[in-house]
Amino acid sequence: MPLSKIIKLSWLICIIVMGLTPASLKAQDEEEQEQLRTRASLSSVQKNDNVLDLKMLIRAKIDGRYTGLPGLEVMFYATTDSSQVELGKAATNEDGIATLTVKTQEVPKDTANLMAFAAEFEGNDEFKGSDDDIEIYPAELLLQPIDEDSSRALLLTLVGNGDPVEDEDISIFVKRLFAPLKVGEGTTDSAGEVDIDFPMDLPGDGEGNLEIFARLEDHSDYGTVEVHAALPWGTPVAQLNQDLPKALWSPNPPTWMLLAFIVLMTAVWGHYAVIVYKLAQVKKEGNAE
Amino acid sequence: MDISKKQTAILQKFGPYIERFDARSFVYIFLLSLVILVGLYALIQQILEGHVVTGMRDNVVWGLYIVNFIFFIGISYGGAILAGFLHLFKVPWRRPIMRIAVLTAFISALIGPIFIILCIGRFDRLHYLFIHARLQSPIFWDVVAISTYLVGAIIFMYLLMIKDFAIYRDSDVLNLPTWRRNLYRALALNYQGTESQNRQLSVSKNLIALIMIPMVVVVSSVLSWIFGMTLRPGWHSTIFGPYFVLAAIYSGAAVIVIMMWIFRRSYKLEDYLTDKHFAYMGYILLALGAGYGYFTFSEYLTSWFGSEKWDSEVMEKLFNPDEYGWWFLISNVFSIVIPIVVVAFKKLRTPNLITLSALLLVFGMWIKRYLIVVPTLETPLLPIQDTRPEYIHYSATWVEWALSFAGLATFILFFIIMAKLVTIVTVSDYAEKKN
Amino acid sequence: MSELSKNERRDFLKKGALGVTLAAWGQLVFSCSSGGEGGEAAAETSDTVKLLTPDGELVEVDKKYLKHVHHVPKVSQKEARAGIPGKKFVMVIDLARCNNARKCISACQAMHHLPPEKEWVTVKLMKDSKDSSPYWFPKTCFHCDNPPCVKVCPVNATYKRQDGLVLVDSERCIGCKFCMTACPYSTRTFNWGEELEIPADIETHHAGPETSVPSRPGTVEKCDFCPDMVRMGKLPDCVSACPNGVFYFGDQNEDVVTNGSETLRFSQLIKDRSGYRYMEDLGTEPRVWYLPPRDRIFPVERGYEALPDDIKERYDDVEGI
Repeated sequence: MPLSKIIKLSWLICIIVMGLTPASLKAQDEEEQEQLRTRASLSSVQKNDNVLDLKMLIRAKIDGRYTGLPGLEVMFYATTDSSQVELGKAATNEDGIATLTVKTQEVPKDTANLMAFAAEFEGNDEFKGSDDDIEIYPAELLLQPIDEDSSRALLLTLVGNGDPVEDEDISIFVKRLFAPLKVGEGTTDSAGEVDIDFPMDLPGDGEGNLEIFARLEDHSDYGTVEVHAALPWGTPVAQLNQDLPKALWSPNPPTWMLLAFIVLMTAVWGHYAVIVYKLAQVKKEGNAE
Repeated sequence: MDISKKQTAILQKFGPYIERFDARSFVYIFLLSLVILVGLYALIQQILEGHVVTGMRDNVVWGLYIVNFIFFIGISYGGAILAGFLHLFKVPWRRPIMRIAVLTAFISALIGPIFIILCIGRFDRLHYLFIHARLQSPIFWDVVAISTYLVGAIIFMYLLMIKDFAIYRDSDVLNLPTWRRNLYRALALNYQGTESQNRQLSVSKNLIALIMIPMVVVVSSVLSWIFGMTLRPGWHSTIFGPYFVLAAIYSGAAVIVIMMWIFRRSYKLEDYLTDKHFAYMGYILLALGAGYGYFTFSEYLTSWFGSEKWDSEVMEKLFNPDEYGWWFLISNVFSIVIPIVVVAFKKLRTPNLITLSALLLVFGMWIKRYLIVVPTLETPLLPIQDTRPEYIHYSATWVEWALSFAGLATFILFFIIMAKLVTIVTVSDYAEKKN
Repeated sequence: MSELSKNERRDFLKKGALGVTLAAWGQLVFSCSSGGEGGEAAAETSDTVKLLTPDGELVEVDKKYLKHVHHVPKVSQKEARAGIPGKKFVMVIDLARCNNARKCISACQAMHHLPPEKEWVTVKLMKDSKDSSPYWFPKTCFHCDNPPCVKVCPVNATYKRQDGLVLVDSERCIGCKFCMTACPYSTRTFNWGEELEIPADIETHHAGPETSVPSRPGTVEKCDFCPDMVRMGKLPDCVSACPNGVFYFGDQNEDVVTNGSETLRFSQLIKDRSGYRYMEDLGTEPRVWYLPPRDRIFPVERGYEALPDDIKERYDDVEGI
């Protein structure tokens, strides 16, 4: 074989090796480091004053259980027939939910006033990407407290895309430490209104304040619609921060116990003190002798 | 200080025992030290590995250590209160017994608390008991009680020794090395036997004897309240306080009898510790044994008769021959029946038999303490439902046994050492006529 | 999804592939030059766990996704002793729903880094008398309002807080075990000597009575109602792990308890379902309430049959199972 051919061949082999080896290495890597499939679900919460929360939940099946994935970056978009606008990005929290708050009047809408949103997680070394989208109309819940002598109620009006919405179930909740407590529900009438009684005996904070909200849950046209209000409708919870009493179980002993202890100790150690004093006398007298 | 003829005679008799360590004592000390060394090895194991090396687990969290603690501290309380009574009432036959009683009180009071330290998981944090003290805890009461009591026991023992120290210092019968004489000189506090010194000293002795009696009642009740304050069947009992007080005095008296017998035999003290002394101590044992038997009967009768669920479960374990039945029987026969029978019949009332019954009694009382601690802990209010045998039944490991025997060995060793420093009979008490 | 973004993604993938290729070369060269060190470095950063996906593939996932490690608010010793202001925590356990799934136990063990044989939450099989029917009885610490354990502690290591919780300070405990004998419910466990494997960063960041970290040999430990979770407004792990919603947890001052899916008024629940406290006659005033096992969802055998043999053995003494 001529030398030139040998050189050419070696070059070829070199190139093939250089080209292939990393590729095959990468393939191996991929086999070892298979990404987990994720599931995305996008939802929305419309609140008063044109505030809209977009919530993207990203989960994966870990240990046989769907678990929310924390710390993943999610990109939110608003789409119309002709364009796609980036709304912003947010990272998922410990429960795997990324939340982005937008103003509804700033969201591009189509002619029918429909808002379309999309959100995407691009994927990373461990997880495959996933995306989801929703379409909703602007909607609003209006809340009017009715406070009478012996009863309290909330008058709620549901307005969807500018018109009253009939025959929808609205629930009212009170915010609590771990989860909201449902305290009533009702169905809107032809005027989009519903009157829901509010309990009189709920404990509030120290001043009796309650954080109340009404909600239309996960509607096909409007998503979730909420209205929030803070009302002094709770009974004040007294002694929110009492000091620990004098008790057997507290760091502060009961007085009689302290007294008994002091009396006993004084009696015994008093005797000892007298004896030590007398011994000192004995020694002194011995010296004098 | 004047030394009477009688006292000189005693000093001559005791001279050989306290002047130097003879070969026999060295053998004893060597053997006891071996036992203590094994205990120290066990202790190192426990420190390195943690409490896993013991038989204690989450249900039975207290075991042999607490049993030994109650045992020794009870003996100590018994010795102290008996010495207090004997002194205060000027009991005529007390003279050869007082020293043994206060030594028993002092030495056991040193051994008992060691077992508490062995039982707690973090004795590196022992000082927390003082810097983070909680007045409501019965453990705090006990810590204060024992330390206060220990100081009292030392003062009591010392007061009863001062005159003797002065005699040792001034005696020309004893052939003592200079350092021993200097030691006695320092300890004798310049006591010369003047009228005023004598008065100061007797007032002091009366004061300590007087305070010792109520104090022992309180501190041994406090000990019982560690158990009585819990909501556990077999422990949560109102008579536990007096029960423990009586049991403490009882076992203390028995140990005094055993010590009397040992010293009478090895020091040939038949002239001092006569058969009469054993008989008198036997009467004390009889009275205490009857009281102890009464408390035992009333304690178990109430539990058995009331037959509450958990009480019954504990009773069932104590009466069942497959569980603790035999031990329960042995404990009661040894510590109630035998001592009473032996002392009650004149023919049996000999020093040897009284001592033997005292020995059985002490053993029976140790078992009794075990039966108080362990079966109750094996009977929690909720079912255990565990498959690990060590979590269901307690069985002490070699570490706990080694340390228990080391405790016993230390008790004997300290007694041997103390008996080398002082005469086992209080010399100064034999100054019948002063010139 | 728009055409544009798909293109972008493709673009990214190409770039990514190139990046991976280069990185692989780099690693090859690196590993040739200093293999040992590279191996060590890899071991150090392996904060991942291997998992089997539903498709049967083995994957590595960062540990943080397993939820065992959570962010813990920094709480001072003073706050950890005082408690969460204005709260009074209460738990309701619905005996009608428990089928001994033991998820509370494993969740608690994961949360507190406990070895498998140590159960702060336990499920007992109770049979109150010969003729009564057995039922599963999940038991946490009762966090009594008149706690016998706290009464007897000589060094204030276990203490009662204003929010109702009874906690143990493992840096204070002297290990006298008096609280263990005082507790009538056998709630407390002892560290008999095991040094538990707790990652160093958790040990430093989580340390304190609120997390019961670190576990010190020779000290007492027990169920703490996960105050670190509660501080963040999250339910204790046993509550959220239960597949049957047995545990309800909440603030009695708010009169609300929740099991995660159902949120109810505490007073109403106790009234409607005849809630009671276990061994009320002891006067310990537990903060845990039970709902009697009436109208049970599962037959009691359901909680027994699927158990591994060693756990089955625990219930050998209970008749009728």
